[in-house]
Amino acid sequence: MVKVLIDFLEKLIDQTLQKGAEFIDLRLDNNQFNIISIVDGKSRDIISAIDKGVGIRVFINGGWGFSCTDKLDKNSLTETMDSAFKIARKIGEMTKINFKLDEQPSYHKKVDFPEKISLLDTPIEEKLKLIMNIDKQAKEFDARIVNTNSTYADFVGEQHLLNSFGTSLEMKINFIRVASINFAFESGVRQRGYESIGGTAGFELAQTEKTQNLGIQASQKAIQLLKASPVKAGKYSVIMDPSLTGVFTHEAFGHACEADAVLSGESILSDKIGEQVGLETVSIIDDPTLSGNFGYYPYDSEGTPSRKKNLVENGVLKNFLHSLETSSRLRTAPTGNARAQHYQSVPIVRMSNTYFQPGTWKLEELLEEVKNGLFLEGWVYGYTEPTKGSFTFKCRQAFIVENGERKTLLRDVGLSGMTLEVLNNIIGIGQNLEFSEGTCGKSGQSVPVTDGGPHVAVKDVVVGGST
Amino acid sequence: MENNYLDYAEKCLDFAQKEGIDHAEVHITNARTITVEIEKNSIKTAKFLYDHGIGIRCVKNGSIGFSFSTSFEWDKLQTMVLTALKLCKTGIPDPDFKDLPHATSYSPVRGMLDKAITTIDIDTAMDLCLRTANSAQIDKRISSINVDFLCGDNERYLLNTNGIKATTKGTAIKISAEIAAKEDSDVSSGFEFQSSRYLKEINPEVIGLAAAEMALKSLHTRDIETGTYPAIFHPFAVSSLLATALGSAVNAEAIQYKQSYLTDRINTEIASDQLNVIDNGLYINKKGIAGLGTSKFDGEGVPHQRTPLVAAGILKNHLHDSYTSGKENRKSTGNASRSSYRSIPSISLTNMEVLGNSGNLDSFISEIQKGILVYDTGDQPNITTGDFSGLISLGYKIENGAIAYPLKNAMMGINMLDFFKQIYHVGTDFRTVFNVITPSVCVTDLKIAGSD
Repeated sequence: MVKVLIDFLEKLIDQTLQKGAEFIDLRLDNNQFNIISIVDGKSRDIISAIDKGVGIRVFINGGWGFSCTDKLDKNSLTETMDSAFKIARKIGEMTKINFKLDEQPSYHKKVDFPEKISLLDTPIEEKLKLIMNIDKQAKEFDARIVNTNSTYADFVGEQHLLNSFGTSLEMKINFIRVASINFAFESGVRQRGYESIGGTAGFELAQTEKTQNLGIQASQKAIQLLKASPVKAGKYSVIMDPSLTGVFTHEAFGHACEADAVLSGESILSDKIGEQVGLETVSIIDDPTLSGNFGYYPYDSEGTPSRKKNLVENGVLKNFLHSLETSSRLRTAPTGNARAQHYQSVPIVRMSNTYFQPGTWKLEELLEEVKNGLFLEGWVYGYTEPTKGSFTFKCRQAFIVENGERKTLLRDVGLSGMTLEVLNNIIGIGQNLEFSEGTCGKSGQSVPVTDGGPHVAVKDVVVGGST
Repeated sequence: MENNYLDYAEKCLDFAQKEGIDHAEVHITNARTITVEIEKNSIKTAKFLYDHGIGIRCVKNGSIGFSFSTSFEWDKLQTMVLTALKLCKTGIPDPDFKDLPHATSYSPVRGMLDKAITTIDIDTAMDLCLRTANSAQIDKRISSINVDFLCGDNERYLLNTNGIKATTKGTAIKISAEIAAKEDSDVSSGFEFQSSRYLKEINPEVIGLAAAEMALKSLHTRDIETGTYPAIFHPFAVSSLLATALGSAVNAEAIQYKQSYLTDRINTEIASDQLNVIDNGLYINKKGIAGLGTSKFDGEGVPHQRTPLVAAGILKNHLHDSYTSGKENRKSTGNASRSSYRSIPSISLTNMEVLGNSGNLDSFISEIQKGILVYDTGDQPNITTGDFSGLISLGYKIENGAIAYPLKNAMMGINMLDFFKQIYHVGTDFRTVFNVITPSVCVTDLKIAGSD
């Protein structure tokens, strides 16, 4: 069945090339997913569905046309190809950004993501049992826990990728993610604790001790915060924990390395390749080949093999992240960073597993060096203003550091600054490298990523609070 | 296709009922979307998306299973129904679930569908984008112009085993411009957007020009001294702040689960008497055009209504769906929201209207000797604690009744209960920011952390 479909699509690609298309690629997805949401020990919703379709992209003279369909009959596929072709031809005539796509090698391969215990073969009852147990432990952790929310989600996709370079890839993709969000209440104070785990793995990830204890950890965080005070606004020396360093690396720096932002004039790094952008101790890496991590993939959504890139090496900006288009326009090689959420979306430049290279400092040494400041832990959300190069993050919690020791616990700490100033204001970089998984949103598409880093101490960071 | 969709839906409901469930509900959406992107004043990418599908919720002893299908072939629909059935029978019984909504009548809603949008072609779409981009080229310092265009139509069918059989159709259009300006080594950005259900309400020239002017006005930012200042919030900032601080915090689910800082505050004073806010699922503007959140019925088939949230500072209502209202033995407020056949309902605002008293941005600025104008922030309050600390991504220092200079890297902080109580002006300079209709709002004491 799939073979017949692939043959037909390959023919369709050839016919459209003959009509004048310069490049064509298409992705045929057959995705299955499950989501189980537990609230206060009851299954609030259980979702399971199959999502199938084809997205077709045609390139002519600098213009892209895209069209997609969930109808897989020959007529609908021909119409969809035709629609993408017509849009591309129209835009190709109108656009002032004319360029050719550089020819790339073709790849023929079948790749499976790592999976020890099959997600498809694990019955929904077992997934429910697992998440119910996490929810139960979260609730029983402390009488002050007033509400528990536990979510299990998995995803298995069969994806075919064809392009007019001759590439034909078949990938079996699988993800799993488990999350717990719990709320604590005591004498008028309400707090929230969050913990999650996720990766490109099978059901074996759900059976690890860390996953099983997720609910307890989330509840513990909520309880701990009940005693936290608000922070006093001002300028501080801070230590970012690995998860915050990871978010900083991804949000504040990584997005500015995306070459589509460079081309649209929205990156502060546009003209800085080969320049010193941070202290010599600073190195930043994007590596989609880290198997098992949430941001792992062997080929990107344009069929380019993924590879490790040093974005910053010893403080010098070395590389941007590229798609076929951005590499062609900037006269370099594609880096395998074009990703699409699913068949209804076009591939755009994205990060994968992005991390700050660890240094040599022990945590005690960092605390000793900072002496008086803030120790920032975890993050709630973060965003940047790429044209200005500024960032804002909300931390889960923080400690006041007094005389090199962590003292009073603080809540709702927000910090902001200029990305390049931070890279030059680093006091010390820790030895430990830790990763945390997340999803990154851009242009309405959400993809799995991992951010990582060590503890990093930085001076002169603006911290806002409500007192 | 309309009759076909209804037939498919009824067939699925019959099949589910025969398999022994308590309730079932089918939601079908059929959407057509055109998007265009402009990069640096040139058309870049255009997309045509057709997306239709069917989703089913099955309920057994209060346990809910959900599945969907993009195919309408009978064997695929059967698989979908059987999946949802299996899921609801596997789940944990929930005595808090009472019922799905029952059949009722809906008042007609005007101004939902613009023929001009249903027939829009790629040429018109590109022309609108180029006009937006061209009108932004007003100065040599404009260094980058990015425009996003989205328009489309969407029809929805909602049927359940309690006799609900509802259909609706609407159109929407949105154009936004993001402009960067550069002078020497100084970089700034500006944005503007318009959204409506009708093409005639969109003025691409105004969008491009306003975004460019904002970018130029934001060049040469300066540090501000840490301290407490009176502050004016532009409708952009009010909408993003209140959508979370009120919209998410009065969600009955967040209240019942004690996740919200507004828990146990119903019928108490949470704000100054200047503040009046309504959730209005039937909002029609002065030109007779429906709001983006307007519709005859919500994601479960409950009629939309007008629900006062804050009246003269008193918290009046929470937003309910059939689950949370069933739990409290009251009627749903019709706030179950649902984006497509792929999604299950969740509680959210329809259109939020902040009612005004008098004054506008200019008159408020002229009253202030030393203060802040907050134009935009990307931050949101913590709805569990009510604490808000965020970056003023675009803001100005006010000195002697006039705008003095744009702010650099300033953070603001306040608890939302203090924010509400400190409101001393709510203007009449209304702006529609997607589904929020609000004027400018002034507060007396905003904590600012500057880099100085």
